[in-house]
Amino acid sequence: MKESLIVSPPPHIKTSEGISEAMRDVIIALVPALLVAIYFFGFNALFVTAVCILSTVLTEFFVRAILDRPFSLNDGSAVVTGLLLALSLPPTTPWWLAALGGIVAIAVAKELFGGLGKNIFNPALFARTFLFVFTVWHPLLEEYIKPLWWKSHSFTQLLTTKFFEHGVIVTDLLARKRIDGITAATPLAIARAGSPVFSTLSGYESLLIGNIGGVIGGSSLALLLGAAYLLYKKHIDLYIPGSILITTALLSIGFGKDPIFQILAGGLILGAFFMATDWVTSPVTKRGKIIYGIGIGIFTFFVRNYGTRVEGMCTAILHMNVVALFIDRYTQPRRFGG
Amino acid sequence: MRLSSFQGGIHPPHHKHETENKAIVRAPLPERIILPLSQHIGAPCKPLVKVGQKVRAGEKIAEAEAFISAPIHASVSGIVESIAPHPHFTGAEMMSITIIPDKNQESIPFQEIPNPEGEPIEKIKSLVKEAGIVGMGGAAFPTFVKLSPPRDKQIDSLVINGCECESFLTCDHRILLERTEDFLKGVSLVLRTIEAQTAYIGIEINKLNAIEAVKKCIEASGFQNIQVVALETKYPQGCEKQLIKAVLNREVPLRKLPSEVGAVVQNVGTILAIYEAIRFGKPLIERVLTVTGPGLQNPQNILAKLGTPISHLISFCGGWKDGPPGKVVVGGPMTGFAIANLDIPIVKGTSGIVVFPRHMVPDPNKYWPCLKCGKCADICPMFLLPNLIGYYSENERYREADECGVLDCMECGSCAFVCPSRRPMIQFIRKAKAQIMAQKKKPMVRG
Repeated sequence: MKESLIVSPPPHIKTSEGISEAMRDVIIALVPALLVAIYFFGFNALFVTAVCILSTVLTEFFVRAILDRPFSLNDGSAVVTGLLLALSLPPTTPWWLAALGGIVAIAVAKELFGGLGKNIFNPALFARTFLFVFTVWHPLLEEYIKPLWWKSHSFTQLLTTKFFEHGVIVTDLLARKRIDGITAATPLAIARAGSPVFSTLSGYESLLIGNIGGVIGGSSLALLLGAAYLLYKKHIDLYIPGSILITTALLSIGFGKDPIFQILAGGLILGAFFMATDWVTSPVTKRGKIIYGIGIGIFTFFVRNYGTRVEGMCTAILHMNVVALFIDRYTQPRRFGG
Repeated sequence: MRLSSFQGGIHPPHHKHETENKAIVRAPLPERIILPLSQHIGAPCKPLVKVGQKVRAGEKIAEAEAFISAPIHASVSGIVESIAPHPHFTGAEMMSITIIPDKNQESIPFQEIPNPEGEPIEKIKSLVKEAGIVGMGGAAFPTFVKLSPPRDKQIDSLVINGCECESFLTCDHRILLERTEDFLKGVSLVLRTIEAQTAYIGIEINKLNAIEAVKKCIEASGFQNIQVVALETKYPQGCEKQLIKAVLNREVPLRKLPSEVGAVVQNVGTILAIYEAIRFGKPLIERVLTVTGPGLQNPQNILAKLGTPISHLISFCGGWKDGPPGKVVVGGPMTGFAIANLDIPIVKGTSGIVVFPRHMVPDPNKYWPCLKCGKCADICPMFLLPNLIGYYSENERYREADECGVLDCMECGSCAFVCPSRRPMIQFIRKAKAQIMAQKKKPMVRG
């Protein structure tokens, strides 16, 4: 019997759950939040999301072609990055700014570091921070659309609405008059400005379902539904999001803030369950995950409440990304029998 | 039923149904028997026969003087054709005795002991040594050494590994069902030999009929001090330290042997071999193994003579199925060796042969960077961080791999199984171990 046989080290059976299956699950988990956003913000939400995904996918294709790296779009990670970026942007984001975000996420935050698995920063958050902090166009991202604005428009009006024409259909939270032409109007920003936000139950409900001026991924309830799916599929666990939420709640109580508002506002749910749990950029050990989550919680709380800007979650995760590997090294578990 | 288990581990698909209901069948004699001079951990044997010499089945044909070693016996009667290097399942070539079996198979007279219960312990140990018995679960450590634990250690428990946690393999399962009483007599014998109080037979719950058969036989035949422990079906339940944790809830310290916590572990096949060696005087010349896999026409549990070439067993199972073969694994799919040459013989530690068709074997060189998903760290039964070890080994940072405890890894392969990036973790781990050991040896070489 002469056959050419493959010789390789064990094990000779492996799970069918590869990278693309995991990415597929993350995409599935984000779909409810996207659907809710489309309901509240109309096709603006879908349009921005489509631009972001197209941008990340094309960027990855061309950058890898130029750098002579193997084709990798089939792992689905570029789609996930595009989707996460879109969910962290307002629905009024101009298309060219969304596309720029996608390019920065893939070309700079991912491929420049060596591609998937070697990036230090969460690509979507890196790009978001780039757009919000380092571009001169950031005021365009601080205008938020009023939920269900499309209900007051006729079908023909909707057809002729320029979805990405910022300023036309921008209002602030709960029909509160805009302070001036370009100031921000998210719940967090209002809270920071010292105005009474709300303490009624309907306010919490609005925050929970996403009926609020904010980013596309604003529906905490839909995001939690997706997170439950990822927990069920064991792609994430509760160590990171749990410690972020608990830290936020404790600090809020300690500093006299409304803990429920602090948890539901400012993209904390999106960040805690989908950004901070990003495999590549977060620690692996259980103790490490808890330290990482507490770090994000503390950082977020003080930046958004006492810092110069309100993007607390975003900067907190990016800063903790840097130390993730070190956290792992110094939180190695006790060995079996050791 | 409360199931005992350990922390960590994985749930690979069982693939036991292909063979678990098939009774053990005897394989016909092959044209050639190839017996490697080392079928155990320890010093290789020196041949006691010459080319052209006639040998009988059961005759000792090779032996070593070293303490940790096991003699080798002719598994058939016939003429010694050659004593030369022959491919071995580990990939290297090894000195092997080749025998051409003759027509009228005769064996040496075996010294039966109808009532081994009364025999002195030292005699039993020496008979086990003479019979060439080694651990038959795959590790192939000489058994008489394990029967003589250090004097300063109080051994109270004998743990029998009936987990068969490797996918596809069912030979131990069949032994438990078909040879229940002989097996239990062997357990009693070993329990007395190591002077322990209780024997615990750990069996995974996916072999419910074996659990019941053993329990029934213990009651019916009145075996004393033997308990059956139902275990969760989880890999690597049958790894020595994990099994002791599950059965006795004791943790064997790092780099220490089970005797440290008062336990001796033996595998089901080994127990049967011990019983046959003592009761019937039969040296270890044949064994039960499972020849199976999706690339084989008719998977079976086979009683085969040691030294039977794998090609012969594959033909006996009807040959290839589902296109050309892609991989032939000696042992279980999680820890076994992939072989390139089908003339390689089965040896004392061969518990199975698993055949995968070509289309089911992915390119082993195709893998991706670590995504730090942490799945490996979640399931590592030694509580290591395989992701870091793999990363350091890949980048030749061996000192850091050592700090991460790569030397404590037992290479169960669970991390590689769950890795979504398909990283060859065992390859990384072995590379790091070899480099670290080489580094550690250096200062000891003087001059």
